[in-house]
Amino acid sequence: MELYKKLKIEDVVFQNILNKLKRKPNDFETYLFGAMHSEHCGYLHSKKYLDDFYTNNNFQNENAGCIQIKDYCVFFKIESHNHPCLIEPYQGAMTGIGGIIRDVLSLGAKPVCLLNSLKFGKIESNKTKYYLSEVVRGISDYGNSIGVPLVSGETIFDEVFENIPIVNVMAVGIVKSDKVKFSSAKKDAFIIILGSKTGLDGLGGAIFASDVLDEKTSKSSIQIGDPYLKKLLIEATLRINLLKSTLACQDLGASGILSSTSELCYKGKCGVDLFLQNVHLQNKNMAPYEIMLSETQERMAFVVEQDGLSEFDKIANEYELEYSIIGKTKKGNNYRVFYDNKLLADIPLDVLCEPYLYTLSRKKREVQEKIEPINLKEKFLEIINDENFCSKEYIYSQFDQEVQGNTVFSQNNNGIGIIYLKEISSFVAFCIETNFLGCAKDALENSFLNLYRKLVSFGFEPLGITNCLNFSNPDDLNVQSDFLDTVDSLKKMSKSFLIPVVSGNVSFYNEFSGDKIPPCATIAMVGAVSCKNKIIKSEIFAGDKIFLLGDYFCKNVDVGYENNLKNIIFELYEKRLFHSVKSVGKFGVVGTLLKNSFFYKIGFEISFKKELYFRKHLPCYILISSNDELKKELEKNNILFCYLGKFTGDKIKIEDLVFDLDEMNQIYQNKINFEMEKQI
Amino acid sequence: MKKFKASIVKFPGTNCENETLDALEYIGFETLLINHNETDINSDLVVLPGGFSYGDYISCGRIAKFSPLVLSLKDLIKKRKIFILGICNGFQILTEAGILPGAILENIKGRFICRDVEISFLNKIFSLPIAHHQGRYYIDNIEKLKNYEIIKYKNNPNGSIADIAGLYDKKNYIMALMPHPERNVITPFKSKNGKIIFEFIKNVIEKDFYGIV
Repeated sequence: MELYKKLKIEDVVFQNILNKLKRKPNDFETYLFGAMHSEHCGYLHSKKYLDDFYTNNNFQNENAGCIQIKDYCVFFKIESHNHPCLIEPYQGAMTGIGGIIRDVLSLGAKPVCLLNSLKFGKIESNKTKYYLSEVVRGISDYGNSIGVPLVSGETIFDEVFENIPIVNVMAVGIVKSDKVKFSSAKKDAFIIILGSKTGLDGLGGAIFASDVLDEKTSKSSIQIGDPYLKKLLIEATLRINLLKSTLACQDLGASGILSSTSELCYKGKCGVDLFLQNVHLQNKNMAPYEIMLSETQERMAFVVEQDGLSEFDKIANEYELEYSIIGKTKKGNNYRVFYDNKLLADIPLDVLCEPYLYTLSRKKREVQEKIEPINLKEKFLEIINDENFCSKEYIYSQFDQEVQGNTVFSQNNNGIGIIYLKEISSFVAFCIETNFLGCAKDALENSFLNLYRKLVSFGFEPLGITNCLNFSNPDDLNVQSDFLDTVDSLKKMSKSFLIPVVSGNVSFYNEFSGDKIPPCATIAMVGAVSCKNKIIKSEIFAGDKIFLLGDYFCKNVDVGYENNLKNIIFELYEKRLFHSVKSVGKFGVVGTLLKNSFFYKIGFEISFKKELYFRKHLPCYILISSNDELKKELEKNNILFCYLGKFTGDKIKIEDLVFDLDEMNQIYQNKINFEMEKQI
Repeated sequence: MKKFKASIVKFPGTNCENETLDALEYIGFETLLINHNETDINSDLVVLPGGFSYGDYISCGRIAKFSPLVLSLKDLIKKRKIFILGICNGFQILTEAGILPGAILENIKGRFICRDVEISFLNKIFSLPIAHHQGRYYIDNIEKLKNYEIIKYKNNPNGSIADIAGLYDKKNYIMALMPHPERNVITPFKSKNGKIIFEFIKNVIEKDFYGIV
């Protein structure tokens, strides 16, 4: 078999290389193409469709995108680490955090918080217990050690994820706008690798993440994380990036030295000569292609001018970090690699960095909406016993949510993380959500609206979005259609709400031995507010009345209407006409009220049209108030609302059904703990 | 009013130094971040903050106890009046170094725990956040603590012996606790309970070190 086939380069992709290169690449070069033109590095199936998002600034094509608040940039991005987690969940989760932290770090941004979106099988399954405990332990060990709080997230349990856990992590970092470090090199400077010795771990990770996995997949493609080294690397990198003579910075992630150095130079429109014998190695016997493709963690690449080398050396020594000067940038467009003066590769950068891009197509599909009759009692007990609804305390208590001392609100039951950034005297809020039921378009619109309303219900102005699109095999026409629908809806929502999509990530091939995941578009939204008084601090008192706000029957997204609702809510809060506002989440009105009942230890009684209690689509707000002025204000502003009932007593009463608050709360609080401890 | 000096020590892997510094500034200390190699300490208060010194390699605090700073603390305590505060990883370092008795083991459930817990200290009951994987205090004979003021958990979260959350050696001015008071001093919307600990320390320094009443 020819080498390119062994490296899983498709014929059409290889033909494209031959045409552009006008010769056959040698074996070493073929390894480089195998990595750079993999789905993971090259976005072969998605790149064509990711270019015309509504955006807000010039920080495109960087490792992460940002929103600007005052004179600072808040960078954020989500990344998937599904493939490594499937094979080795503990290391996979660790290096997932490690990788996404490097993305914001490379821009010169100080990491200020993390979020996650995790998906597993049903909690009763032993496989789920294994994946869940290992992934959580990995995130905990890594995130806690590097001192970055995990402020919010979601965990979803569904049988479709039984064999394919989905692990998406998000990092947020801040940097002064004029101190942002770009990832484009300039000529006549040195390329330096700082951090871990390059070794054989994670070799070929990018190729492995671009394929369907099965039982035979080896663990040697898994990277190993070292949070202690990362902590030192973070501190050193932040200082090095402040130096004038540091021209550019890039993290070493997928395809290690190869992709970082080629991207630095391609973006900077300069050529480069690399000298692999200079790289500090764990294993002296590594072949040159292994040095290029190793995905050893905790490494960063810098482009530094001659006069900055001594200062660089000083900082590296202070943190006891090793480094090696591995190359020099120069005029031109060629990526040349030497080992002991032997030229191994000489490839024009555009050929190396611009792979063949696939065109996707849409399949016509009929969408059927199922309407099932609802048995109120059954449905209620189903929610109460659903691990998706239950408290995730077991998971979140394992993450340090408050290190750095800036966390104002974290996970708990809110589904939102808020931090205070003294650098900009502002509060910044983050929330993340995935919907995968129903068609791709509906799922995305629901997530978008849920997040938008979640931010509004805490008084925040939504300002930016990032996303992580997890799909199965892109050769499947259904997957292509779902992907295109998702991207189109995201573009449409973002543009109509004027909330930019600042960054994103696509993960294909989420399949395992015949199982595949449904389309999972995870999106996260970021909002900010500068005045403490504008943050809506919800409280509930016995006797408070419950109103449903907005058009609960509406089936379409209406931007003007959403904006109007937002402004009215902010206005009503300024007049303190309500005690609490809640966005109705995935578990409908009843789910939302229940969570609040548990938190404030007050029961409620409601009566309403029963098919709407549990409705998941196009949710809206619940207002909780004891003020009679509220009704007048809502009427004055032509806001549709209805009275549902009130908070009172220690029972939950829905129509003629009565449940004991305390008993329900016990199930809610203990379900996941109980299941996880049963294992031991 | 006199400003007392507080040195906050940074080991490689320490990660709570900045918020500790901010909290102490707010309380009215003149603060200084110092390196673990430092031995020339002229402050009234030395804080070993939370984090993962040396990556918790071997065991928490096991390597940090050999740092020049920790070694010099042992002499300093004998020489002059100085208040030493260990928070979380700082507590682990102080027990490892033998500056405080006992040892700190892995939580009974083997998991990291981050949550608010209620503690009692000097007849006050208040909540503070904990965030640790190894916070279960252990001592072979509880009698050894008879000269110590004990900070206790109301609902023991980690299996610590006698619900011990922290210790205060009144005679030698050494205090250590697993909860993080620095996280509840200046953060908006959070309780201000951390002040109880820091203001207590400030008052002791004021009264015992400088005789200010």
